[in-house]
Amino acid sequence: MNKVKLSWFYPQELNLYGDKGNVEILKQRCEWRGIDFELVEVGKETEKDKYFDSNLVFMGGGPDSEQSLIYEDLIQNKKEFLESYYLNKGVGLFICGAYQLLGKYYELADGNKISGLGLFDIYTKSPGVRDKRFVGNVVGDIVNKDVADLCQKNYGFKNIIGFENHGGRTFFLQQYEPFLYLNTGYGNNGEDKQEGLVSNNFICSYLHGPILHLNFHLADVLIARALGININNLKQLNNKVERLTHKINQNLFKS
Amino acid sequence: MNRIIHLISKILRLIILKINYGSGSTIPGHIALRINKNILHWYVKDLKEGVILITGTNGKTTTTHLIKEGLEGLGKKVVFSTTGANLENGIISSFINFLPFFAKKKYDYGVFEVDELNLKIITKNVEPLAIVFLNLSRDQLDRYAELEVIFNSWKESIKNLTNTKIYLYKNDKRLNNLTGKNISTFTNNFKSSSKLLGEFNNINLSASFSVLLDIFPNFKKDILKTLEDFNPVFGRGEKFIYNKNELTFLLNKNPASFNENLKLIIDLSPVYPQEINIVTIGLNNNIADGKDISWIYDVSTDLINILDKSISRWVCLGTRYIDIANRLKYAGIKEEKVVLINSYQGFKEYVETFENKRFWILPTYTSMLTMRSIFKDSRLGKSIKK
Repeated sequence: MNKVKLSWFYPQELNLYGDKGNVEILKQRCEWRGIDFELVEVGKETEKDKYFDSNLVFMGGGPDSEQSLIYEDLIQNKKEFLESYYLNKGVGLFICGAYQLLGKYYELADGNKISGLGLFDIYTKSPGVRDKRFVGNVVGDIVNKDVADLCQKNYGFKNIIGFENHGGRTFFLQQYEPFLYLNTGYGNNGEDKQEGLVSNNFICSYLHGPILHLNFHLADVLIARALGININNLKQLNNKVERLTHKINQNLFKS
Repeated sequence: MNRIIHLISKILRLIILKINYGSGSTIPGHIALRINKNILHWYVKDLKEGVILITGTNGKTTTTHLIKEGLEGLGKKVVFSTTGANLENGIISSFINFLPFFAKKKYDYGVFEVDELNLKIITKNVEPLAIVFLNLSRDQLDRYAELEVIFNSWKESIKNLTNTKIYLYKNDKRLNNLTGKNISTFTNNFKSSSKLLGEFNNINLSASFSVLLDIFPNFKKDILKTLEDFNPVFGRGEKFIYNKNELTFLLNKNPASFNENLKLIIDLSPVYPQEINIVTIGLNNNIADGKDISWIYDVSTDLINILDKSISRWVCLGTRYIDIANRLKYAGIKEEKVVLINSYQGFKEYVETFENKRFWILPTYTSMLTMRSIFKDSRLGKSIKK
């Protein structure tokens, strides 16, 4: 199938920090290559038959109040789809709040726990009001060897840059492959230099920026995987501005 | 005791100015606060009438100056911040600056813009005459956390006020959830002429008109006259002429103001042929601008494309100039229309290569400061009173 069908979950509620830019970037990079692109905005009312055949899923983060608005719908109406989509190696990008919601639970400052989808055996803990949020620039290397090698070979680099802004600290209860190993930034919990999580074809990360704006190579990784083809077989694009965006900011972020 | 603090702070301010250690617009207030954390209460009591506070995501500076000039137009003496410093220490510094060494009750009003999250701190000590809430939208989230945090702190700020008049912009859905005593609303129905560009300034004018008319119901004509004659302040619609080019500065600090600025240029551009319009976006990410630039993707892609039809070039400038270029690329703007300039001096030289163009300059806050100083000798209109 030479078509990307992207389902964007909760665009109304989870659209903080310009993350919708990721959707614009995926759309353009498909259309510039002549790949058909269909966007489905999945909200609370959206029926499953609209999105069951997606080959790419994106979900961003939102403010706490908005996250609580979609929470019930996510658990009751979307869990089954996301679970089977994940197990069948569907491709997905989950940023910040969406990443946290895929875990077992989110522990509030007062010790109360909100359960998540439980797709991953991980949890996130609020630092309370006393500890600071993790805010700032991030530079890290892609941990997954296959993806790192592909990026190195096709684009000449294998790092990811971005901007993190989160209070929650995320910890793994069993072993998962992190998305990045950090040179700069706090990452999952500020302790282990790890950022995000990769499992099957799901990529979870705290990075805004938006992440695909700063890392066009990651957009191509997602598109190639959604189409089930090797990244070498994607049509070459003129990436002059994208390369500069990555390179100039990488130097800014490191310093 | 407070008199002594005032004296010390005033001397300190003079020393700071003497040794060129900044503008003295925050440090004296900071020191005074250190000695007495309730000092603002004492200062406000020295006013004959009281303070008016203005907060919101966009429009604070313009509205503050509108109300201030409205009061001055009626012969009142007003304490205000000459630099736009809008934290508690900045407001106290303004009092230190304005009040003489030993004066008592010399000024009638204080009019201040207040940082969204500082309002709560100020109303803890001081009961203002009025608070104006202009709007609430996304702004530099890496500093201000989330909208609900601001909203909740506003609720908190007005909770214990008994006599303060609260003014809310009626068309802002979030603001309408603020409840309490003495609340009145304003809209965007200011009908008189104005030198201020853009629909968003109508909100600022309407707010100022409501506040001023409530205090001086018998001076409607005088108030209108001041508001009509008001000149744009500090990068909010200011015009410059450089090398026979007209430069219009439109502060561009968040998605809401970016969208409004795009609409404004679209509205005005049919007047000009496409060839003469050049849009320059200055994107810095210093602390005062917000370190995160993700918000440029919250700007309307449709508006970017509509405006593209009436302009000849997009110039990308600032510490994050390349990010603007990439944003425009993904909005669908042709690469040959996009010019990259990586220094402000370079931009000045670029402007020099043209004549008779209209440069629409959309800078973030610190980008605006730099460009204002680069073109400062070319500014049109009266200078801001300092």
